[in-house]
Amino acid sequence: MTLERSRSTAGLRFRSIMLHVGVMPPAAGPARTDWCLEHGLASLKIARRNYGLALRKVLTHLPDRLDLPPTYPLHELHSEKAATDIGCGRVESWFGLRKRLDALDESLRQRNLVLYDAEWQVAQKASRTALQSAADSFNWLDDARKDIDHEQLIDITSYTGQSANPQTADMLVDQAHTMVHSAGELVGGLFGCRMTYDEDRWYDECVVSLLHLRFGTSAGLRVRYECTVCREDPGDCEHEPGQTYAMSAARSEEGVCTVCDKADCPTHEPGIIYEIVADAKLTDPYLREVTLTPRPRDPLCRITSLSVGDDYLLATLGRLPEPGEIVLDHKCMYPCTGFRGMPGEQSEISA
Amino acid sequence: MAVSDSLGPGERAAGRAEAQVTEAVLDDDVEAMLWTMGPSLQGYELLVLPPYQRGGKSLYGPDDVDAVRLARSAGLNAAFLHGGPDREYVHEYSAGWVVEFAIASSAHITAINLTAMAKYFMARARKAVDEGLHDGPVEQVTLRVKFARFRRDADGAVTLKRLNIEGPAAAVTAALHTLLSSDLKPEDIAQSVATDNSHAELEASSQADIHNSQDAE
Repeated sequence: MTLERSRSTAGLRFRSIMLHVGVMPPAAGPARTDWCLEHGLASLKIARRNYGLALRKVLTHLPDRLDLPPTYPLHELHSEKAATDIGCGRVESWFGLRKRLDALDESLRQRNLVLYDAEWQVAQKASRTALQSAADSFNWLDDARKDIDHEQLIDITSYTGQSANPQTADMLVDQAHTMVHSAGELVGGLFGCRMTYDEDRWYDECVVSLLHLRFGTSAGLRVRYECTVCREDPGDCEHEPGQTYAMSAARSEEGVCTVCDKADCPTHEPGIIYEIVADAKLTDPYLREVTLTPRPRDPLCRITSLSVGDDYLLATLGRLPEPGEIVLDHKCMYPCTGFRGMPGEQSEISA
Repeated sequence: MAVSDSLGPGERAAGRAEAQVTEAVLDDDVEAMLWTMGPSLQGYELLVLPPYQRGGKSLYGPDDVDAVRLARSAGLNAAFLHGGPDREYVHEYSAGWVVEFAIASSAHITAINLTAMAKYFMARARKAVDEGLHDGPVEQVTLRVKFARFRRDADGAVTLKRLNIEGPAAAVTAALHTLLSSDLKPEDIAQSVATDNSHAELEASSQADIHNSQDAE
């Protein structure tokens, strides 16, 4: 479960994920590094598997005379001009292919056949999963490398359980970045991503584009804690965290199970003794603030959509679209022009 | 090292051990509650204070949940400043972190209290290492401590000193010892030397670590 909210800064509006409900990554130290590496490598594996699946499904659907546009290293750093020139060409190639496939599908349908069948939908789903997983992987690994020496080799096997050569954090981040651009182009070029319109503004929701904004959000809460055994503040009770205690199940006045805190609990029978692990459980959260930060506690709490100005729309579409119109986002087909830091900071370009 | 000019000689000496000792400001409500309790702190040797203020409200840190438990394990008669129903915690989703806490000590400090407080400081640092939030060793975990202590002057007047002590755990612990030793009566110190071996060991360990880190530089 995620909590999203709209914010505005310097005329721009954006939406972001403020927090994921559940276990948070540790705030610092080796525990955080391990957590980020483990999640980053797992996400990278999911991204690769789904990207491979999507490519296989797509290629089996292409007629002999059609092929995907030749691969191009979109992840490599380009100047704005070069990126525009190359990007326009990529958009033409991909949209040209898509147009021909649409025409083919149309003609097949007249013969009770379809090109865009269930397998095509599997390809689309896999490619979108690959893109999001690659972006997640980048965010996890980029956080981890902030605390790892650039020369230090990471024992991949110890995190994934699968044999792999040790690599530096930079190498892993580069792989995730490359995968973001590859999967992003497949998604945007073949399946399409729409810009959204809300409250008189158009929003860019391109995962590839927004990934290059290297900041996110951190939420500040005011909370209470209660002991999972006695419901008192854990600072006042004698239950040792991590120790197991026998507890008789009951129902509160609201019908909530005293063992698992669920309403309508079918598992814990009142009067029966269960073993409970003492822990501090967060209760009564009150959201105080949300701040933009270059290093959010949860690396996945990022900007999910950003408003775009009329100048961008005019430059890319040649006109201002009508509200409700379908506007496809092209940014994923443009080469990388680097990463950008916090609003107000000088733009940072890095390879 | 940043040591305020208004600090006493003992406080300056404490600052030499790699820890930064500066004057602190307590939140108004926290200070009012301490004065209400008075210099004896109603018999408690250590009070755990809320180190943060957000939106005009004093809040404890998430790690403070275990603070009183750790203090009691260290041998201190300890309690939270706020009772359970009034106790709220800050929960901030920002990366980056140091061990930060606030305490108050009574005017009746003894050598045994001092040893126990040093153990409490090291326990807070050890918890961070045990939870993987710091690479260790324990002595090098950065502590940021807001320390309020009642002090009875020679003329009987009671004052409330407010200090921030920040630095590696070993240095902060050494600074604490230097600061509070000046409050001990000579007979307390003599008793401490005669009876408290653990104190001497802890002190020797802290000093050795400080020298080692200085050598490394």
